[in-house]
Amino acid sequence: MSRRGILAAAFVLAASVLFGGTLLVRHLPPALQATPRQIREMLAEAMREDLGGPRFGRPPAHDFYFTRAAYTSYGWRGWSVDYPKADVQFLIGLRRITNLNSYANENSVLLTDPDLGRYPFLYTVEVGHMAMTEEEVLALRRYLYQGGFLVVDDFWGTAEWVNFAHEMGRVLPGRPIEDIPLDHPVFRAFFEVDEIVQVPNVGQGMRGGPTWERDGYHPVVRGIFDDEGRLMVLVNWNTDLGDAWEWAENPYYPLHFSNYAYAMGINFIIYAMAH
Amino acid sequence: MFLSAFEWLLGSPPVAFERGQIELLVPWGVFWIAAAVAGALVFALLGYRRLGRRLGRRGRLLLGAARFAAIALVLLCLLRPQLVLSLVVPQENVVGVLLDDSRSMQIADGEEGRPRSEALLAAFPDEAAAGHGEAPLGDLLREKFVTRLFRFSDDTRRVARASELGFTGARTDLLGSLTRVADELASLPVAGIVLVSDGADTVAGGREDDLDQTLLDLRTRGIRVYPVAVGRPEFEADLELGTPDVPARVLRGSLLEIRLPLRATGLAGRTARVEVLDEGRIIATETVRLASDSVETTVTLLAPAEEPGARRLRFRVAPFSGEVLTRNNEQSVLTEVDDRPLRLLYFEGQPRWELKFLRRAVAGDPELHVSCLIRTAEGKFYRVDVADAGELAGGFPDTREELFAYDGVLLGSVEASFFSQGQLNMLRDFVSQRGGGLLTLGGTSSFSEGGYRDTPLAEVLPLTLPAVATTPAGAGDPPVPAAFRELRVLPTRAGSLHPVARLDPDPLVNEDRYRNLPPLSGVNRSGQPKPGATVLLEGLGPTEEPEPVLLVQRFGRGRSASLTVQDLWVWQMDASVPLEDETHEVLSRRLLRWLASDAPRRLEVSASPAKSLVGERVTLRARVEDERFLAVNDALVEAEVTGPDGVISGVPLRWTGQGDGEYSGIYVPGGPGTHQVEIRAAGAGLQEGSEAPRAATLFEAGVVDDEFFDAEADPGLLARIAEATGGRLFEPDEAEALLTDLSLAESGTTVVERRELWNVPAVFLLLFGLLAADWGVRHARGLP
Repeated sequence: MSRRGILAAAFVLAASVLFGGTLLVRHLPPALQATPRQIREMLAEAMREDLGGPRFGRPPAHDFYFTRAAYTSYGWRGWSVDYPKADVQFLIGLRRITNLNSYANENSVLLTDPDLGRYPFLYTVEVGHMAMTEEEVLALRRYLYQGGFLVVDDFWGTAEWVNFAHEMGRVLPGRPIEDIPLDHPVFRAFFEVDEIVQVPNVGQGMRGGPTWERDGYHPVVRGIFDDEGRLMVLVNWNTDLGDAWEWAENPYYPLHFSNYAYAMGINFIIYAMAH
Repeated sequence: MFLSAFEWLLGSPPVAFERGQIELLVPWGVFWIAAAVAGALVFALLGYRRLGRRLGRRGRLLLGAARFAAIALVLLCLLRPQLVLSLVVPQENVVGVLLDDSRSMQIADGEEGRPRSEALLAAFPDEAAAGHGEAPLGDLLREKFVTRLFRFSDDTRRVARASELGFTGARTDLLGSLTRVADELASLPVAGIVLVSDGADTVAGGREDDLDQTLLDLRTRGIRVYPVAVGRPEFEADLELGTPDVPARVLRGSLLEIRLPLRATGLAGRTARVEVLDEGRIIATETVRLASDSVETTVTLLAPAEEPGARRLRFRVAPFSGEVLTRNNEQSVLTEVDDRPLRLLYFEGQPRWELKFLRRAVAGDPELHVSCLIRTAEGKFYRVDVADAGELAGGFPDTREELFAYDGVLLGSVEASFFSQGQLNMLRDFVSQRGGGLLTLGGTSSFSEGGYRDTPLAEVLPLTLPAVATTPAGAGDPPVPAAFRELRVLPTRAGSLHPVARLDPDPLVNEDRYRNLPPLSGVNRSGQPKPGATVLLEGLGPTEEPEPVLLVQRFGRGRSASLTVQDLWVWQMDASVPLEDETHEVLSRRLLRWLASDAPRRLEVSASPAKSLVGERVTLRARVEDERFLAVNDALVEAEVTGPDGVISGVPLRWTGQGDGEYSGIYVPGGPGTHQVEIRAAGAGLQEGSEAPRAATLFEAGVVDDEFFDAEADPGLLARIAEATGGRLFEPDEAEALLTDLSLAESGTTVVERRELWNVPAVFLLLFGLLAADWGVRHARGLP
């Protein structure tokens, strides 16, 4: 067969496979078909089973669950960075230092989960790549207005800030993201924190290189407040507390970073549970 | 009928036999009387001996007895029995006449709608009646006695004639008036006191001891009281509003819980709409179905208390057709709406969401200030919302001064062993002695699980604490508590009526609102409500056996409440609860307000009566305690009374000597209107620490309308007065009988009258009857 003939045969074959495949899919019994929504739900279900949710007792069987908010993002970076080791390591410290009756395991929950409200404290990372669905936006808005508290961590530089600010603008339209002054009670809830430290990622931290990433040279703690001036969202920008928890047990990881990260994390939780 | 027959047969009325003595005029000795009786007996038996066979044993006995009785009767007559009476000398004796001059005499419950006063005026006309028929009581009395007329209501005054009465007295003081008249007539020969009244006493009510004492006193003096009852003991149709039960003080923004008793006669099954008005504005209404006659129906009303200061709340029910008395369809009561915030202390043994959401719930309530203390690690505390740097700086208070400064305490999940024995005792005293409120919340370290079972706090709790389970805890790290269960929370019947748990006035809607809320959870083993505790909310767990969730009780001077669930905050955060739903906020605020609003202050003041007459003595009472809430007896207490005209007068209050920390003083209002009372206390033990305690109350002068309440005539009380003093109760048309009773006086100026009894018709009829019976039997048997 000539070269042209082979090409023509390949084209016809590809076209028939495509056409036939489409026909086949379209004529699958309805039970085997899934809408995009169902596919998302199936994925979510798989994620839940795979990634946690309290395994014992329906919340709030324990007074506190360190809960990761799982959101939709673009690219490979998303909510699950450093999960679950950072969470579990932080919980070990939290339970040792405070008398909080906390669930000892990691816990992740979709923003659209009907039980979201049963975890009034949420932690999430890598919001520079956040791209929430409309449902997630509505659920998070409702959660925050009901009294939920969101801590955001580990995103760097202007580009990621712009993305995060845009996403937050969708959740809480018209609410500015403001600097939290160092005399705010959140810095005194358990430990006295007198300065904002830039916590580098684990690689840079252990190598002793620069602490910043991209153009995020200065660490900032900002917040979104409600009408009564109560903190709803606490934003750690240009810093990575999660890595400091995750590698706290590593002898090469600088102690002052993990000390600071634990102090901040515990302060956030004690503050969130009192205000 | 019976009385007149009695008088015809025996020549004198029964009261004469009651009061007089029977004597025999012929002074035969006992021996001779016995001999005569024996003779008569022998004669009677011998007379029938010969006929014995024909008569039979029974007939002989019968005839013998009849003959014996006839002979005995003749013998008795020969002895000339006499009734010895002491009769008043005409115009030598005084009769005190007390005429009821109170407003209740205006009530038109007589024939054809005539007022009670008309019956009184008809009995005591100014001019002697010239007409036919029975003479009025007044005229009859004047013929035989010197009469002294008195009008009485809350006081007593001599009057020349009955027409001087205006029937405007605001109160009826029957006993006081009787005593005063008895005193005034003490030096005169008194035949008795005639009391014309409806018997609706508004002063003695409930003072049984006073009543008995006064009556005993009158009896000792030998003064008989002859009440003449006017008015009907029961109206055909009437609705009366009782005295509303309203707290003397309520926190602004709270629901004022009012219990209003309704008493209806002849209106069973009808519905009444009760309205509560504050300055002419309707602030609450409630429709109620009236119970059958004379059964009191209590309506519970919840009215918002919004405006601070002294409020006069009015209650009214539109009159029903045919109601005799409509003035008693209205009531009013004074209450004070307070805007001083309540201070509460919330202590959590570990960080918990319950605290955060409770704080958020009460944040919008200016009347609640909750200082929070959280133990965040062993020996480490986090303070939130403290008033100053010193508050709770040392952790949980360990002095009475510090703890008792709060009006309420909330204990979260904290084990009993955290507290010293002294602190536990102090917490108990905080409720029982200081009168604060204690709310205990469910949690992993609460109730039995917290080791409270054998502590002084177990006494205070409204539920019993079961022994701690030895069953292994559930799986997980840390383990899920063994007792963890979800509970669907529903209101009880009592809860639907309680100001804390009533989310909607309609019980069905109320229940629905709870039904739509997500389940909560408990981690403590369920205890049983103690006797005297009220369960407001109950939970249905997996066993479907209801268990108490929110329960309350009084303990000593204070209140105790337990919320056995650990996560009321789920009603705020759960996805099924709409964002605008306020259940969590409303319930939390109401619970804390209820808990602490009744806590007494270091200086408490009251005025009684709260509704007085102009010129009446109003007693101002104060209770003074120091910072540890221990009574102070040597304080300088002074009241400032501001009248409605703005004039301020000072009244010193002195220690009563009867109770620790109790002071009193007298103020006499000079004009009508609302009087504000402000009291200050100073002295040893009070000036340390903060400012000298102050307190305020109010009372109202000149608005007494007691006469129209409980206004049915009360012949029962009048009969009791008559019986206790030896008199008798009469109707207005029994003037003659009353006069007879009065004439047979033992006191006053009397003469002795002897009335022969042998010649009364009864003796003749009896003798005739006996002889006729004797003759009849003999005739029937053919005997001689």
